[in-house]
Amino acid sequence: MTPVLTGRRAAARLAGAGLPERLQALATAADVADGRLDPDAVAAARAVTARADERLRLGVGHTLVALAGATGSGKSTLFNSLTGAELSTVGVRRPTTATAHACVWGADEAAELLDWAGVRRRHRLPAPGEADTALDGLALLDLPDHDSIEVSHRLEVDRLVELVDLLVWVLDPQKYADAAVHERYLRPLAGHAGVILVALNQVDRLGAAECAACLSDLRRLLVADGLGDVRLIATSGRTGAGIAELHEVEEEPVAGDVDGARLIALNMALNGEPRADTERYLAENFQLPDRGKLVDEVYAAIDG
Amino acid sequence: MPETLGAAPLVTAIESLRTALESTPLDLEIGGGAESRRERTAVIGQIQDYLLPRLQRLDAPLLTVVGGSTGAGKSTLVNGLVGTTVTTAGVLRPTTRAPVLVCNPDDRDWFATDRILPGLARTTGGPAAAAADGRAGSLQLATAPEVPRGLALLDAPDVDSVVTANRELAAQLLAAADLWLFVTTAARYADAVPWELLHTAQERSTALAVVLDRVPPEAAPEVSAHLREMLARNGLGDAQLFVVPETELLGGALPVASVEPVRAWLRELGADDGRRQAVVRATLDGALDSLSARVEQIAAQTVVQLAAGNTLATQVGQAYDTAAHEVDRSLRDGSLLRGEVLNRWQEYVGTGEFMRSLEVRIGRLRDRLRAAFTGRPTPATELRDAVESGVESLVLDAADRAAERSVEGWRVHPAGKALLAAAGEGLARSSPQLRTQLAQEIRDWQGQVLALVAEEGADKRTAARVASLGVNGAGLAVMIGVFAHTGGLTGGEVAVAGGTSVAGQRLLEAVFGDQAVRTLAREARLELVSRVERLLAGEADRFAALLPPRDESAGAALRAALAQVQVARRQSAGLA
Repeated sequence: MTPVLTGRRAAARLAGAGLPERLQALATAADVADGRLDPDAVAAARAVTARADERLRLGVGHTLVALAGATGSGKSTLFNSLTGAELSTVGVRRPTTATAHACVWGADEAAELLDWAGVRRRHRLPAPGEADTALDGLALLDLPDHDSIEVSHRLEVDRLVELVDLLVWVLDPQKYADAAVHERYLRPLAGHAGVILVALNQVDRLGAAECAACLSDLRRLLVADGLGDVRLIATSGRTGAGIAELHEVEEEPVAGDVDGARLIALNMALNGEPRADTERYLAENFQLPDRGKLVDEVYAAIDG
Repeated sequence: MPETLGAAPLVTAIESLRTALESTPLDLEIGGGAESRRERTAVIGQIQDYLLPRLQRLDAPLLTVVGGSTGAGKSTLVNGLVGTTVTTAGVLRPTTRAPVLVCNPDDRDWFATDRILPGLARTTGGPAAAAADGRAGSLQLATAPEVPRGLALLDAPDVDSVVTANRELAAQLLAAADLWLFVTTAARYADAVPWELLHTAQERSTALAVVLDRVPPEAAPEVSAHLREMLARNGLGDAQLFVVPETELLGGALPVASVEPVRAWLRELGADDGRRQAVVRATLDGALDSLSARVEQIAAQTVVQLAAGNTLATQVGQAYDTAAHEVDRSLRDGSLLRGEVLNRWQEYVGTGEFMRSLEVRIGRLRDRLRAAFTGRPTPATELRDAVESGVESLVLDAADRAAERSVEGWRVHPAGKALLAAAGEGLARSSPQLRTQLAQEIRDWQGQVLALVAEEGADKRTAARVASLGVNGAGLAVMIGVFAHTGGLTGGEVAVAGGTSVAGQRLLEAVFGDQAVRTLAREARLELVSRVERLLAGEADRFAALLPPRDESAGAALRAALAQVQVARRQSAGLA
């Protein structure tokens, strides 16, 4: 499976797909439409070109990825799992994270890019002098919540959602159907499925069948949002399940880890991988007594 | 004897307020319009769902609405409180589809009728039936002996659900509550959406108890202290707070011990008539107090609505006035005398047909003969057609420009933009049937001009001249005169219109030298202009029809109805 957070390759790929030409075309269209079409639409088109020009000017050496989500969805725990360090404060008092902060992988500290994004709290991984990793060029942001009583948090999210290159929406079993995320953020992003990933976090709180039912229901809501093609994965910041989906980890899967295998199978099924591929992957990476039964259950849950 | 305490005048006053609210025009999408419409729906809903039934029967059982966030565990809590499964719970969101009202079997009659919440049809038949039914606008009725007498529980849908209908229903049910049992969780207690509702509860002095559900035991002290602090800071420090720990559900139900404090509290409330009445009174007074600010906000919006409606109407009015002026000016400035009309006129004059028409009967005969032989229209007919199409394109252009100006004006106005979007395409141009209407109107006008000329021909002073031209020729000459700025042809215009034919020029001078013919031309022009104005008014009506009726007294009517409610409240308080 393709890991999602692949460092500088993502931004470079976006920039390479004829983007400058398309931006130029959009700018021309906005000029031609000025005074003829709805002024709001013209202003919106101009804002897009200005923002994209500015982003391209800053170079595509880094990919700016944001973890966005509700208060209590476990963004910070997930952020810490991904960075392998306790960088984000995790707490039970809501809301926890007040301002966005960044973790940058690689030798280049991406100072200009983060200045542009207005993110002041920054960390570097690995420490200077250590070897490069597969995540070199990734700038990962932990955003504040978008749904708490702290309006300033929501404004910070609104601002950054428009700037980043890739968005990871972290949802959880309690809040995955909230209007606050679907109506305010996901529906306006319809058509941008290629730069969005949705993670259902805290799946450790659900049983296997509940988890599958929950993911299918979330997929249904995403289809209704116009994001049917978006990648959906199940994660658990607490147990570390599904984190392998988010980036390539060094560790080999534990051979007898039934729950881990089930989650990987679930994710592969959810994202439309053929059953045979899932079985092959499990055969290669796990030693499970009832592999066929497990895959049967997972695919039955997703299809049902 | 129902305990109404002289509430009859108050009931009447509130019914009048509802009628006034219903007829308040708030349709324009102008700043605050959507909020005012929502508020109006909410106030009307609360009047019929709660205020009227509660004022009529103060002794009816206390309705406790269990409301809260998606996934907060409301249904599980309600099942735990009544000790049996009355409502469906599960991991899929939103869970509660049709709201469930559960009461003591002895209180069933209070809720089986449409006394409260008349908009929701009652269903019975258990959670499975309700879930399968799942239709909007119903209320599932269940009874359980564990529920204390004099108190009912209503499991409301999620306040923050992605399903809009759920959210709206939740707000409606909360507005109908005597007591809110607000359910939130350790993950959600700082969410913005529920806090908006809690602020509403505070503003309206609604009786409130809060259940903090699904609290991991290790987080309980910190989270509950924080929530208590938030409640106090928001003026809700008096609200009862219950903490329910996150536990494994036993066969889908909460362990009895974890909900026992809530259960005991409700049992005590049910057993104590005095306390129950105090809760009912406090919420009722709060709801009545809140009417002033809510209705005043709607009354203030009527001014904004009126101003926006006037602005939009004026923009259209001006655009079409300008169009009428443009048509009038073009008719006067001789521009129609150039181009096609002029060519046809010169042809008419130059071919001698004009001259021949001096001999009326012979002329007409020749026209007919020639038309019969050649199959083509005579120059006279062509001239009439040219006049028709000249005027037609002049008016169509003006109508197109007026439509465009109106659309441009509306597009930059928020309310106008919304009206245009709702009306769809087509308004930016003149209406498709205008061309046909116009052609008919011009032909009628030409007929009228000929009739005028014939009538005038009966007058001694002009008889000779009209007779010399024939009605047809004189009529055409008058129509040409309409397009000249003096109302008759003079000087250079005669030279132009007369073309190369000296005879033609002389004749025109002779014709238009006559005051009577000039008067005729002026009359004909006025007639044409008024016909065009009527058509343009019809065009403008396409825009006017989109505007809601403007009522200057709407705000005053609302305030008067509100004042009546205040008077009636003072009276009933005096009686009590």
